[in-house]
Amino acid sequence: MATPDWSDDLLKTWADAQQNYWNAWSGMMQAGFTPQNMQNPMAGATGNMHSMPQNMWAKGLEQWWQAFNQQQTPTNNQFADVFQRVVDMGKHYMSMAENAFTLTSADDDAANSVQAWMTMMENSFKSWEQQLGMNQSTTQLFEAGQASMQGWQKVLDSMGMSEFGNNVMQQMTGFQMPTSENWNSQLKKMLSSATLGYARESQADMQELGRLTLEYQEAMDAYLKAFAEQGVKSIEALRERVGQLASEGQSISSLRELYDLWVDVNEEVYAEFANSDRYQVVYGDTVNTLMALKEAMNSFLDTQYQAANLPTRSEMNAAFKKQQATSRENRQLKKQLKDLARRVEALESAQDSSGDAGESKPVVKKAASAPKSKPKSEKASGAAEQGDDLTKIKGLGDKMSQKLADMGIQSFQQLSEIAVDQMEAMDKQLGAQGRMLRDDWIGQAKAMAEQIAGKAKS
Amino acid sequence: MVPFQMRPDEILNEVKDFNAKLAEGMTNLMEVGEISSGVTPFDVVFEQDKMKLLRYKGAETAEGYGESKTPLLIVYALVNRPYMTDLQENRSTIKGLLDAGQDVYLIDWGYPDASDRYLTMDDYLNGYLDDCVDDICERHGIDSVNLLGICQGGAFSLCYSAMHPEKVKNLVTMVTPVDFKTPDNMLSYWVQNVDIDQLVDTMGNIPGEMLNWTFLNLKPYQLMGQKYLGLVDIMDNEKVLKNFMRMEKWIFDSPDQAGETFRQFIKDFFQQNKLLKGEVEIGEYTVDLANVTMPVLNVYADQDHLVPPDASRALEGAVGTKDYTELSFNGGHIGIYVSGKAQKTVPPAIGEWLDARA
Repeated sequence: MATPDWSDDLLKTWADAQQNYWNAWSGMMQAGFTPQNMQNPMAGATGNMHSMPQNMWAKGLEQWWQAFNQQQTPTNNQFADVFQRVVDMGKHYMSMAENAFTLTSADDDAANSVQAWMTMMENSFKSWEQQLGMNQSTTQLFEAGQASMQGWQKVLDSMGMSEFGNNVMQQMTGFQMPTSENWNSQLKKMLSSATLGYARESQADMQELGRLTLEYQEAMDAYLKAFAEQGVKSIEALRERVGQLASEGQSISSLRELYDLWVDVNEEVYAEFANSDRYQVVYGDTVNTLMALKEAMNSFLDTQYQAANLPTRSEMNAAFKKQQATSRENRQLKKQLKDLARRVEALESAQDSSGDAGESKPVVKKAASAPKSKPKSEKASGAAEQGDDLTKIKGLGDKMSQKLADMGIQSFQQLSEIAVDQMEAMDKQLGAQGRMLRDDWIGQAKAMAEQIAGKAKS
Repeated sequence: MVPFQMRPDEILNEVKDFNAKLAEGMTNLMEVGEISSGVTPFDVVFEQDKMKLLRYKGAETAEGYGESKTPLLIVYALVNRPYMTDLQENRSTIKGLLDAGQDVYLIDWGYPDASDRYLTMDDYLNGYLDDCVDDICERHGIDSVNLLGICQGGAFSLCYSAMHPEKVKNLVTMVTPVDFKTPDNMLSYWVQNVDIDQLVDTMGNIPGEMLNWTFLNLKPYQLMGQKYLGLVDIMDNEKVLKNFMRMEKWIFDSPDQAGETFRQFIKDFFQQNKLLKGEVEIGEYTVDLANVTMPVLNVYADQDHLVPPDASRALEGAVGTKDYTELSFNGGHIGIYVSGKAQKTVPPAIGEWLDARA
């Protein structure tokens, strides 16, 4: 596949812009500007900013990504998700780079700037935690935390939850899924309103939905809060690591090393957290409250479908269940048929060979093609004199053959003489789990015994 | 003394390099072309509903099938897709087994849809799997096959072998959980507080997205972040990039799970550890691992973060066979199929073990 022209152009434009960007920055650095009072060279078109906007680097990447994304064609669409994941990671990396850059530029002493960086991270986690504590849902997350939440959003999408939340529910009821910052107070207000008047029943339904949404949000917040706490812990762990590196005389000289160390520390802290009782609870609660909400949504929708004379989910389920039961029954019938056909064949060839002196055909294909090697069970293998090899019966293995021998049953003839009303008790005694009946050992034994008798005659 | 030696201009340079690599890499990524699902050719020899039985070709024989007297049937997990075992030419367990002379079959379970939510473990094992075994037996005029179960497919193979010992000549389990409650089993730990009945009743099938999210959360910082930073470094190498994309495709190619099977698997196996206790009930059977009396080769990975080695090794004390062998591989849950080292050692060892018990 040749590179389309647009992509060359796009990349070149972007690369040029980047180059200018960095050049301008480097130039200003040398001229003694500090980032705090520096004008962003990229911001020319959009206005006069006197200080560097937050997260500019990550935003630069995002802008490029948006432009790039518009050029996506169906042929490269297969990688859209990967592009997105790379860009998401890149944005985090850029944020880290920008922070490190800003801080190292502001202070000549590397030790101070690193401390400042860690303090900044720590404060971010703490303010996040605090916001959650105030019941303010927030999307401000870090690194994998954010990736993980985006993943969760995809899970919701795959369940049709966001669809429901954003469109259906709002259209039908004016009720909006609480994604804004003061969702908690909004919801509580709604829940406390009296259920009176004409549509009381559906109002009660809506209140129930609201209550379940609230529960889910609370569980989600507890989950996020636990994550935020881990963030703070990770900073502590990072401080420890850095101290350790210092005492060993090692140093970190690149962004990438810093990033890798940060990932290491996070993964370590996370692993301990993920194996804790607390995680088990917040994880379980999140899934459980989400499912309770989803269940209520399902039945709410079912009511609407029914009113519109459309098939409901529960009706579909009933049909699926029936269909599965039918195909299961079919499968069993097929097996029984196959079995019967084989037995008929065995009987017929047994009759043939008994009428047909001198010719002894192999009766059961199995016996002729591959005689099984028997384990060293004395009774089973030494039974040639007084007994038959009962394992020739389908579904009857060495273990069962041994148990039967212990009961004194060693030949097809003996087995074939067991009365039908004894079979159930015997099956239980053998622990054969119904195989005795299902595989019709008695019938098989009869056929075998007749075959042997036939052979003996001829 | 201070372990940080980063100067602002160096940070700028590093970022510039990163951005340049990313921009060039994105172009390479767009030209990487279609990513295949598996590389070894096969015939579909048997089909039922969405299930397909594949027979692999590529051995140096007239028909291209392996020559082993007893065919080998691979039972893969329902989670993710079986082409993990056949990702690329020089990283293919399937190819390795063919090279070791095995006649290799594999069950492709397909992608369940809403109509499959009531598929039970009984349907999967005593239905699909048993029918595949019967089909192979008829095709070859034999009574029993060799089974090779992978991960959840390994647990399935164990159940099947306990229910139908007469149909399994030799059993190979790979990265297979047996004891689901070892202390280092994070997945198992997580699901203990999940109301599985409510989950399945509500969802029907369990979305693959949900499972995937769970797996990625085992090591989120590496799997959702660092990995892609590493990708930027290798994006200029088309071949390495393509291999990365193959793996990436596989990781996110996660079928939904049939609801009823998921219910039983999580409740009985993960939450209540019934496989080890001999209390799993499937159809008319109670699964007792003591009935697994054929030779068993248990292959596990030393650094498996999904199925910890102890979870697999518990098999030794549970099976009824006297011919039990363990093979440990120095790597992870996925590395055991796709690493170069695994390619050289694991399939040949399995082939040798099987040949000795032909």
